[in-house]
Amino acid sequence: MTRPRVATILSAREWESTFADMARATSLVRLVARAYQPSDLERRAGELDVIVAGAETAWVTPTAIKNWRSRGAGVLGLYPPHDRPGRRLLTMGGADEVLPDTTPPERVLHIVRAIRPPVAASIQSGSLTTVTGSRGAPGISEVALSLAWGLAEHHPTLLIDLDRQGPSLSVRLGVVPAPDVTHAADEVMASGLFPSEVCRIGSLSLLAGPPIRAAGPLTSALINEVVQAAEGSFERIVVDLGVTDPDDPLLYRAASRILTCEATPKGLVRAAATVEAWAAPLPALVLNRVPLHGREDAVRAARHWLGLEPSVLLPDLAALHDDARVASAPCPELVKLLEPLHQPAPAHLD
Amino acid sequence: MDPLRHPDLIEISRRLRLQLAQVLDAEQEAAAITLRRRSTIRDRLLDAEDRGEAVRIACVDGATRTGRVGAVGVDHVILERDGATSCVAIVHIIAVEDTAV
Repeated sequence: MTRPRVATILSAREWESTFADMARATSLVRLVARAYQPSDLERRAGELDVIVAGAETAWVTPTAIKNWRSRGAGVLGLYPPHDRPGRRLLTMGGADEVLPDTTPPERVLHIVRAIRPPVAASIQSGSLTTVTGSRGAPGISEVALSLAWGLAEHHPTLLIDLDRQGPSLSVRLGVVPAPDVTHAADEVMASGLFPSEVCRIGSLSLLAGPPIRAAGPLTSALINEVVQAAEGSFERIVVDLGVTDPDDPLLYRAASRILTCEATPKGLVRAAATVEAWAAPLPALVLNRVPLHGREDAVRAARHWLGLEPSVLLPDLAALHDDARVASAPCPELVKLLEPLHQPAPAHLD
Repeated sequence: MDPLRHPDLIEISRRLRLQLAQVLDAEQEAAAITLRRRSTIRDRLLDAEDRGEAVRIACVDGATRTGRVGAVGVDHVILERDGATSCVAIVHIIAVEDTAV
């Protein structure tokens, strides 16, 4: 029997250090990681047989446990004695074993060795698309809406409004902004499941933006939970990030990223600052409001100032402006123009 | 029924959840710092052995040795490379780097 490859979630509680010491002393398992952040486990996804996680860690959630198991790692959950919510969280996620963290480490080690890693499920990839841009209203929400609208004709698609400064998609579509992202976060944390009922507009599902006063309690970890839970229910997810931090974790998590930029000198300069700070894989560029007789100049300027080849050029048409001003479906022409972005395409850097 | 699902308490429960998450994050950060402060070169070599990683070791005499960590003893480490093994006393090691064999 080979020694299982095990990772622990680093914790201030005593079980973690005693388990690590015991694993080293007995060599019963290979302790390949003591994860401080979710990315420490992401880097080793597919290599791990068992993850030992304590319910006291903020990012150990039912969705995270399901995600680890779907990647083929068994999960042993430990909870502080008498912490019923902690125990419930582990059970809800489907942990293979759930024990109080006062269980002797030798016993935990033997149970870890007995856990049979689940068969890795086929992991959906290419499902998450983020749409962002620089400040100055370059048309981020309209691009996100039109892209999601087009995708919804072929796949179950969810559009999430995560524009912290101005969540406007529910107003744009003329629907009640409920349930919103904060409701979804409550539901995911309580049940581990994405809300069964979200707002539907035609074939598109919409999760409205958070109320601005709730932007504080809505942490990146919570948003990540909501997106992970949604991935189990929808084939395609489009997130309107609005003007976001270039280090936003969703930009790294996404299968494709779209940067919207207005084809004006001011728009290009602002987008250049965004691209300068960009650390995630390069985005596909949507150049918006391109003058009808200045397409070549706009493309040349985008190449020069942003180092990106535009994937889509959106003309400066009155019809697009008019359709965006009323509570209705997006302009069909815009939906069609964005079709090249339905499949994630690599961006180019000159 | 969970009392925190009461409409009047939802906002409070969200803020409490945020505060709890911040406290837990701070505790975990402290644990990570403590782990780094207490770890030794032997711990680093044990990590590499469990991960099956190769390392480059620099010794006090200026020599460097590269290989997969085959075993870690109380006072020595065994490196494996191209079917050959070498044994290095841990007390002679001044640097350990991750590398590919």
